[in-house]
Amino acid sequence: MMKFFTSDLRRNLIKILCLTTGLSIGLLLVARIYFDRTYDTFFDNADRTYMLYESIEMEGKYEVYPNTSGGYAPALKNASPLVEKASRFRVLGGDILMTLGDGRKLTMDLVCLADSNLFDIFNVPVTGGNPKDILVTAGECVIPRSVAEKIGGDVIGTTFRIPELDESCRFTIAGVYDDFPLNSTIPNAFYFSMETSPEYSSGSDNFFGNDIYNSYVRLVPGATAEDINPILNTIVKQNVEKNMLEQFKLNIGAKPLASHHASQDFVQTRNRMLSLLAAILLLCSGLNFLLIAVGQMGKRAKEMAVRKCYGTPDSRIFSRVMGESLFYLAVSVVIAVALVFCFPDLCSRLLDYTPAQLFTTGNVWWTIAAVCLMLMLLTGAVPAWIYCRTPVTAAFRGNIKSRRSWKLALLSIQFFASAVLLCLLSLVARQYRMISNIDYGYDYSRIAYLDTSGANRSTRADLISELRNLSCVEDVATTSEPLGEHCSGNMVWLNSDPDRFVVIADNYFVNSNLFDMMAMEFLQGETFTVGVDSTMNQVVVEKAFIDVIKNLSGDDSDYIVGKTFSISEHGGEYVICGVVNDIHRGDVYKTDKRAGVWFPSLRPQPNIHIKLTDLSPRSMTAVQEVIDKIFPDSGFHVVTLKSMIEARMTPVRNFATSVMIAGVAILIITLIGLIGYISDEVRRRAKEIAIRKVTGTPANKIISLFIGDILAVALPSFAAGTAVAILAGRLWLQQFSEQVSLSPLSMAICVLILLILITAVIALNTIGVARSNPVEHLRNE
Amino acid sequence: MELQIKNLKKVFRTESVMTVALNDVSFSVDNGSFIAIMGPSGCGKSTLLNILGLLDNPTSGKYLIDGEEVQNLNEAQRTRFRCGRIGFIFQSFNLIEEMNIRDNIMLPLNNLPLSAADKKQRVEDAMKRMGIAHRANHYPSQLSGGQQQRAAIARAIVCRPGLILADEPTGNLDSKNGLEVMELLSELHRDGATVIMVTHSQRDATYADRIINLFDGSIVENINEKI
Repeated sequence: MMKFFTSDLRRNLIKILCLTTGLSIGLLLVARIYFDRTYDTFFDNADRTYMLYESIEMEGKYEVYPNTSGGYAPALKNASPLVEKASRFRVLGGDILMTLGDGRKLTMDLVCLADSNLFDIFNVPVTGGNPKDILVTAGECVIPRSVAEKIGGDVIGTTFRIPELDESCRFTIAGVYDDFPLNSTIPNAFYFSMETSPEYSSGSDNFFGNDIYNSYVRLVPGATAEDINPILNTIVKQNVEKNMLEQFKLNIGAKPLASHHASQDFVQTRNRMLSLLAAILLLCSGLNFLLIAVGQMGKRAKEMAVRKCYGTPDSRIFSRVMGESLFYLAVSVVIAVALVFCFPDLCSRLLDYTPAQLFTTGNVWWTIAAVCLMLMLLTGAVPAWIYCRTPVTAAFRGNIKSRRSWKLALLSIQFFASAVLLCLLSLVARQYRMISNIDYGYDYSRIAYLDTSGANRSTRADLISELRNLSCVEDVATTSEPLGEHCSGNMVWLNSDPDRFVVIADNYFVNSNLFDMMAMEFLQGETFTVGVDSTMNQVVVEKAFIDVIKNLSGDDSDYIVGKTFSISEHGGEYVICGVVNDIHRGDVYKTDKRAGVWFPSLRPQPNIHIKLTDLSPRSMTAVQEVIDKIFPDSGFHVVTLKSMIEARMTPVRNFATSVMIAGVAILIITLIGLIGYISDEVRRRAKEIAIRKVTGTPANKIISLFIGDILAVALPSFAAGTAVAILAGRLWLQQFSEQVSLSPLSMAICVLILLILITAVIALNTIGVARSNPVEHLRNE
Repeated sequence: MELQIKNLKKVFRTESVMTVALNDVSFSVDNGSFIAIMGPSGCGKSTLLNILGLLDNPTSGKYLIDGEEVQNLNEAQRTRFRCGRIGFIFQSFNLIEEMNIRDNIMLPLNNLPLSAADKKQRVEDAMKRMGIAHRANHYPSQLSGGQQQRAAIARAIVCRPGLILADEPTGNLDSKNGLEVMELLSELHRDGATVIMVTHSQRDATYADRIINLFDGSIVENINEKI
C-alpha cells in the first residue's frame, strides 16, 4: 500500500516537506483572511443588520466615519416602517479603575453607554435580567461573561464604585451577556444605561457634531440600504442647519454591518497582501510538489505501463495517482496544522490571534478544504494526466520526455515568487526603518508613562508628589489625553468673524512643565504663566497653528503670540502664550496633521509622564513600587513611552516579519525545487557532460552551462517578480501617511542577492559532476 | 603523437575487493601508428584506453605523451591536455540527443580559441569528409547507426587531433557500416593521425599496424602486423 511512498523515500519526503512548509503558513494566512471576512456575521439576522455612517467634506477632503450623532438611529426607526430595530452606543472610556464592594480593585477595559435596544439587535444570551430594563435604569450595567467569571461566580447584584467619581456614586451589575465573538466590531464592554450619565445626553436630539455614537438598525426582510438612505437624507435636511450642511456636505448612510470590517481600507490592504502571500506560498509549494513528481516520472511511467499492459484502465491510473496526492496532502496538512499549533505565541503576535482562535472560526475548515482540493487537483491531476497519456511502448523504451520545459516553467514561477517576496521584504523593511525614525517633536528617551484613568484625583496628586521624591525622577507632568494619539477635533474662529472656522486637534489639558520636560522647543513665546489654570484662558499652540491664525485673520504675520481666538467646547476667548513645534499625532497609518492646541491645568491629569534620570529597570521598578504603594491592587503599570511609541509600529513590524517568514519559506521551497531540478538535469545530462569533458570542456564551463540555462529562466521571472512587488508595494504603502520611495536600487540589490544565491546553489550542486571522471558516466552507456 | 607506457598499473578498490585492471603494462606508440588492442571482456582494454585518453589516471607507472609525463595530472589538467589534441570514438556513439549533428560536431571546437567562421568551416569540412553534410540539421535519433558513428568520427577529428582513440567503433554497426567506419579510420591514419582502437573484431584489427593482446590486465602478445 505504501510502496509508492517508500520506493523513492527521499524525494517523497521532500514533497511532504515542501507542501508542509507552504501549507503551515498558507493555511494560517487563509484562516486569518477568512477571520476578517466573517466579522459580525454570527448574529441572528446579520444580513438585515446595518450600521449608520457619516461622511463629510472638510477643507476639500472627503472623510467617512463609522460613527454618527446620537439622533439618527432612533429618528430613522420613527420615520420608516422598514426599520425593525434601532440602537446605538457610545464609548465613554477605557482602562477605568473600579472598586468592588469587597474592596477588590479591577480595571474596566472599556465602558460604554448603550440604549435599551442594543441586545435586541446583537442578540447574545443575557442572564440576570432583561437587558431592555437594565439599560434604562441609571447606574445599572451589563458586563461580559468573561469579566463576570474573573470577578467570580454569581455577580448579579454586585455593586462597585469608580474612585475617580464621587464616593456616593454606586453602580450595579444587573446582567451578564455572553461575550461577543472575537470577530465582532461590537466590543465586550461594560454597557451602562444612557440614563447613568446625565453629563452625556442620550443624543436622541443630536444630529450634528458629537458624532461619537455607533448606530445600528435592523431592517425588515427585503429592505436594503438603498431603501433607507433617502430617508436618512431627509432626516439630515430636516435637522441640520443649512449653512452647516453646505459647509460640511454632511451625509448619513447605511451599509451592511457584516461588510463593514472587511471594507475598511487598512483591512482591505492587509487582506490583499496576506492573500498575495498565501497564494504565492500555496502555489509554490504545490508547483514544487509537481516539479518533483515530474522528475520521478521516468521511473514511475514504467510501473504505470506495466499496469496498463495488464488491463488497468486510465481511470484507475488516474484515481491511483490522485489517491497518492491525497495521501501526501493529508499528511502535509496534519503536520502543518500541528506545526502551527506549536507556535501559538508567534502566530498571535504576527496575526493578532492564536491558531486555535483562527481555526475555530465559523466554517473556516470548508475554506481550508477548498484550498486543499485545489492543491490536490494541481498535484494529483497533472501527473495523473501525463501518466495516462504516455504510450506503453514509450514508457518501456524509457523514451519519456524529459519534460524539461515543464520543470523550467514550474521553476520560473517559484523564482517569480521569490523575487516578489524578497523585493517586498526590502520595501517593508525600509518603510519600517523610516517610521522608526519619525521625529515625534518631543524627546521620549527617558520618559516613563502611566495611565491612571479612573483613579481618584487626590490620590493621583499623592502619587505625583511621591514620585517627585524619588532620586531617579527628574520631573513629572500630566496630560488629559495620551500624548501623540488621535485627538478630538474642535472648531476655532476669531470673534471678528464667527462664521469662518478651522478644525484643529484639541490636546486638552496639560501641566505647564510638560513642554520643558519633553524638550519641546518654543518657537515663539513661552509656556503658561506659572499658576495659571485653564480659567485664565492661555493656550500653547503648535507651529501649524500659525497658518490657522493667518487663514482666519488674513494677516501675513508669522508671530502669533498674544493673538486671541475662540474654540468650541471650551467656551470663551483664548490668548496664545507660546508656539511649539508640531508634534506627531496618530499612528503609522494616519497622521493627524491638524494644528494642535494645549490648555493649561494645575490639576494632576490621568496620563502621567515621568522623566527619569535613566531609563533603567531599577528606575522603573522604583517608580512601580511607589505606584503599588499608592494604588494597591489597582493593576496600574508603568511603561516606557518609547515602548508605547514602538507599539504603534507593531503592525508594520509584524507585517515585515510575516513577509520575512513567507519569504524564507518560499526561498526554501524554491531552493529545494532548484536542487531537485539540478539533480534531475545532472542525471539526465550525465552523458552529455561526460562527452563535453571528454572533448576538453573544463569544469567551470560545464557549471556555467547549467547556470546559463537557469538564469535564462530566472532573469525574466525576477523582472516580472520585481514588477509585481512594486505594484503590491505601492498598494501597501498607500495606507501610510508617510511613505518611503519605491527605490529601484534596493529592488536591484534583492534580485542580485537572489542571483548570487541561485548561482551558488547551482555551482555547489554541479561541481561534483563537472569535476567527476567522465568514464563513470560513459560506462553506463 | 608519440606515447610511452612504462609499468602501468591500475587497481580498482572497493571496501572488500581489490581488482587489478592493468598489471605492469609497458609499450610505446610511434607517431602515426594504428594500434588495435584486443582481448576478452574484462581484460582491461577500455581501462587502458581511458588512461591513454587521459580520462583516467593509472595507480602507478609512467605515461608520457610526446615526452611529457602525464600520469599524475589532475582532472582539470587532463581536461586541458585533451582539449584539441585527442579525439574519441565510442561504440555507442555518445552523440547528444538534444543537439543536431552540426552542434554535436561543433562541441570540441567550443573550447578552442578559433573564430566562429573558422569553427564553422571546420565543421563543414568534417561533415563533408564523413559524408553527412546533408544531415547537418538532423538530430541523432533521426540518423542510422552508421550515420551516427560517422558523425561521432567527424566530432573526433574536427579539432584535427594528433591522437584518435576508438573504443569498439564498429561494435554497434552492421558489417557494411562497420567496414565503412574502418575505411574512414584508415584514411585518418593515412593522413598522419595516431589511431588506437579497442576491438573484439579480428577483421577490424587487420587495419592496424600493430595488435596488442591483453589478458587479465597484462600484455600477452604485441604483434607488429606490418612485419
